[in-house]
Amino acid sequence: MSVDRLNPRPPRWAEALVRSVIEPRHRESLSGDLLEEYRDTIVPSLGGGARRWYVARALGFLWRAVWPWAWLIAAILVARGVVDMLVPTHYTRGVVHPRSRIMGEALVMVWVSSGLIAAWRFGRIRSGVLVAFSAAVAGGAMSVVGSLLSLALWHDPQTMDAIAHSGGLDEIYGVPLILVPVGTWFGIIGACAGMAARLALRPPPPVVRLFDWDRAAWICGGLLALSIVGRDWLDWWLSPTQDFYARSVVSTWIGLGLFVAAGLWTGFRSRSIGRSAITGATTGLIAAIAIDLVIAVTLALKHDPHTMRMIAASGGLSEAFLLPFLIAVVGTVLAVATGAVAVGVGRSVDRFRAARP
Amino acid sequence: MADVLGGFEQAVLLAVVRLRDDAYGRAILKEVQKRLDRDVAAGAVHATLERLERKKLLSSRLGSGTPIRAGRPRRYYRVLPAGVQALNAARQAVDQIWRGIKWPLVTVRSTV
Repeated sequence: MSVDRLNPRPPRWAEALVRSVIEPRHRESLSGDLLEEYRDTIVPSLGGGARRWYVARALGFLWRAVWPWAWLIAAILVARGVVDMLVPTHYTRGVVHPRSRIMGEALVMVWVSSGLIAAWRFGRIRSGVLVAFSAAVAGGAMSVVGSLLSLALWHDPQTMDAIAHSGGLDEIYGVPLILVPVGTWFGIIGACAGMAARLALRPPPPVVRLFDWDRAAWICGGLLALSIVGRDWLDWWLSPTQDFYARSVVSTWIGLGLFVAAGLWTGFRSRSIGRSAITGATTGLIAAIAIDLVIAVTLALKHDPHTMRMIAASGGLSEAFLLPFLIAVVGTVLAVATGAVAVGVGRSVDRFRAARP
Repeated sequence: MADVLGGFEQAVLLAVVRLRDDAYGRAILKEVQKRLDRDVAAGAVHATLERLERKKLLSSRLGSGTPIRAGRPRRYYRVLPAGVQALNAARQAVDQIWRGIKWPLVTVRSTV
């Protein structure tokens, strides 16, 4: 209890909101600054009002992330309303008018972009969804205010008639509200895309560390998985054949070449046969796990009788799932052998460099 | 070089210079508010610090957390040599502009 009195907490939702709209690099330090200010200065001076102070700051942070999108949404909605008022047109029920299509596409672009950029910037899908939702709410509210202002300027009978023909006042005030869930939905799509792009281009530190731990294994294992999955797809769907010999020779040589490359690479860099063995085994395991996952997913999606016949003709499911693990064992032995050669070459290079004047 | 720095950027950079080893987000915000004698949004100072770091005028490091911050670390800022150069150039530009003019200016009633 005394700890709570010494260190009062702001509303949890407001803290979560603040942390959602701060870049990951500054998330801890900036939210810590705000908490320090709250506990050190605001609570002693404002008492009960301190929570309101924190909520206002949290909304301020959110607004900084949302305002460009909110303005864009409001501008699109108000512009559409003003065009309908000033240049009336005839709307037919059930037919999408070009104006409606243009407005709809522009709004979708803004919603998706708001989610995408926020998720990219703040490194969280929920940040993208929050920004898209808030932009839809704020933009809708601003558009209602904008429509009220434009009605205050133009409210002659002719304009009111034009408004009535384009859906009426109900639509002007109701559509922004209806668009909130739609905008949030498109924001979710944008947020997922933004997060995927961020992960692909700026992988998180644990992924980078895992990759750095054994780059040779990830690269050679990935290529091996691609080559074997590609071979399976060729056999089963893309270009089925009854004569598998030529393809088997090519895919075998590719596989062997990748294990040789992994063994040489690690052996030369680390000057250690043990490391080459680990890289060989990891290469095989990464490839085997990736291949089995891809095959399982593709079979779940496509399992018609023709495909199953082709799979049976090319060795069956047991071969498809188990062969990659057998390849891993053979590949590890090969990586050890080539790693030993690379270690020998590397040590010779070291001796040569050391002997050079 | 002087046109690299805006007025607010100069205020933030000078706050970091003044605070020396204690230049972290909240302290910088308070220093800027004190010097500019107005309320300044924390987000505005944070965005400026970020921009100055991108321009390589500042560098930052994380300190340790304290209980009052729920263990969250402070980010301490330090002015880099390029930042000092930019501040000097900005000051020189202002001095140049004001050279030969008596300060404070006296309002001159227009006769037109």
